[in-house]
Amino acid sequence: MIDRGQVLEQRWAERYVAGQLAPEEIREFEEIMLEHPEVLEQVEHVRTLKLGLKTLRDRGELQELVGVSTRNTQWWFAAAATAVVCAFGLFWLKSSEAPPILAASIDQLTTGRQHVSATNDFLIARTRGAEAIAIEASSADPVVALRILAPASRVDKAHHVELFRGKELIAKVDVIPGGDYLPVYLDTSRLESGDYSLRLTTADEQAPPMTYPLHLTHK
Amino acid sequence: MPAPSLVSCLATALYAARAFREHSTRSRDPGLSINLSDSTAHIAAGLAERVTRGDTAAEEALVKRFQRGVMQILLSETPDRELARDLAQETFVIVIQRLRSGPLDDPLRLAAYVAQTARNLLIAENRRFVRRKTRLDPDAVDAAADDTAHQELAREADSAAGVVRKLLAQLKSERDRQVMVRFYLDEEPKASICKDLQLSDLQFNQVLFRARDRLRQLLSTAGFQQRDLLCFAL
Repeated sequence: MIDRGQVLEQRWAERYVAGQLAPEEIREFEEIMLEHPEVLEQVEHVRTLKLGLKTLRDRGELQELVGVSTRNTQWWFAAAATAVVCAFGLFWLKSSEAPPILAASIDQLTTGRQHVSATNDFLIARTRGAEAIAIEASSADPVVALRILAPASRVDKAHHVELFRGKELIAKVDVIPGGDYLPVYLDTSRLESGDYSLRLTTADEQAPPMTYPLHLTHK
Repeated sequence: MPAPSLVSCLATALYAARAFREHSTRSRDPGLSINLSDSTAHIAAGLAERVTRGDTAAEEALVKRFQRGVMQILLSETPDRELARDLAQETFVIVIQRLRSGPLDDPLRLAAYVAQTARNLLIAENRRFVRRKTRLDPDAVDAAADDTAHQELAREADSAAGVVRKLLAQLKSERDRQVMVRFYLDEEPKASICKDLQLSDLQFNQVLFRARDRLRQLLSTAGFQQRDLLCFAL
């Protein structure tokens, strides 16, 4: 039997059609080809492939045929790469995002930082004279707890709490009442001294907003 | 046709034995270690003997056995299919006449004899062409150009392109398609392709094997044999 493995492994059919065999090899190979149909078939296949590929190239079709799914692959690759970059970007933004100024819990304020505690605790109630509530903060204890007394009719409703400086919205947070008051935590280290206001609205916006003036000073 | 003599039968047997010894020696040559099948060589030798005895059925069998291969040998040297067909016919005329006149020195090498005859005819034809070329009249050549041959070549190119187009469409991997183009069309060395596409030898061989297997299926599904595409009928 012919050593078909060698003929295949050494790609004699391809080399023969490409004219890459030495004269002695050609003579030997042709003898084998005449005697062995499977070798002859290989030669015929190679010639068919070459003729077909050459014809397609001459007609300008080959590049598209070879690259049809190339574009698809590239598209999918680009989409996947974009998704990865976006995911990474979002993760980076999320991870590098500054902690909120205003939060419903102290844990949200301390995310990514060393644990802090709110040593200053202010009860904020609406007064008839609407005097500003003086908040004195220190760099050592920048987080202050604000317990906003909400009207009895609102104690069971979720609220939006917004912090304004003048008309500029500085921060906002959604808060669920904790008993008779709305607990809010404020990171004063990121605020300048000055006048602010807390604006309180119910989540369903059925009740009119309530505003609490604040005056912040840093020690 | 005279019946084979006892002497010629003995001579055939002696040549067969000598050829077998020579072949065994050649098979040990590490430079070209291909093992010819003794059975196929003996079948061919049997055909040669029958032709020598005047068996016309054997002549037909001989042509059928070698015609596709002879065509490939000729096509390896000339793109002119008409010429290849003519030379193939001449090859068999010469081989059969030779066998009718008496046994070959080495009947086991009938395939080699057929191949060499085809090559000799092609070499002779090329020499004649070179001689004629000095007297070529371009206008006369154009006028005498055989349009049928061009049409046939175009049809063959169409068929091959159609099959290869389907083949490329079936190869899902761009890498596999690149391998096909670079290896078969650009004739780029295997090592270079493997390095560039980061393929192992095994992976490269698998790509070619799969592609050729699909090509075989496509040709089979299309309902025509390879000989319809690139070969001829005497």
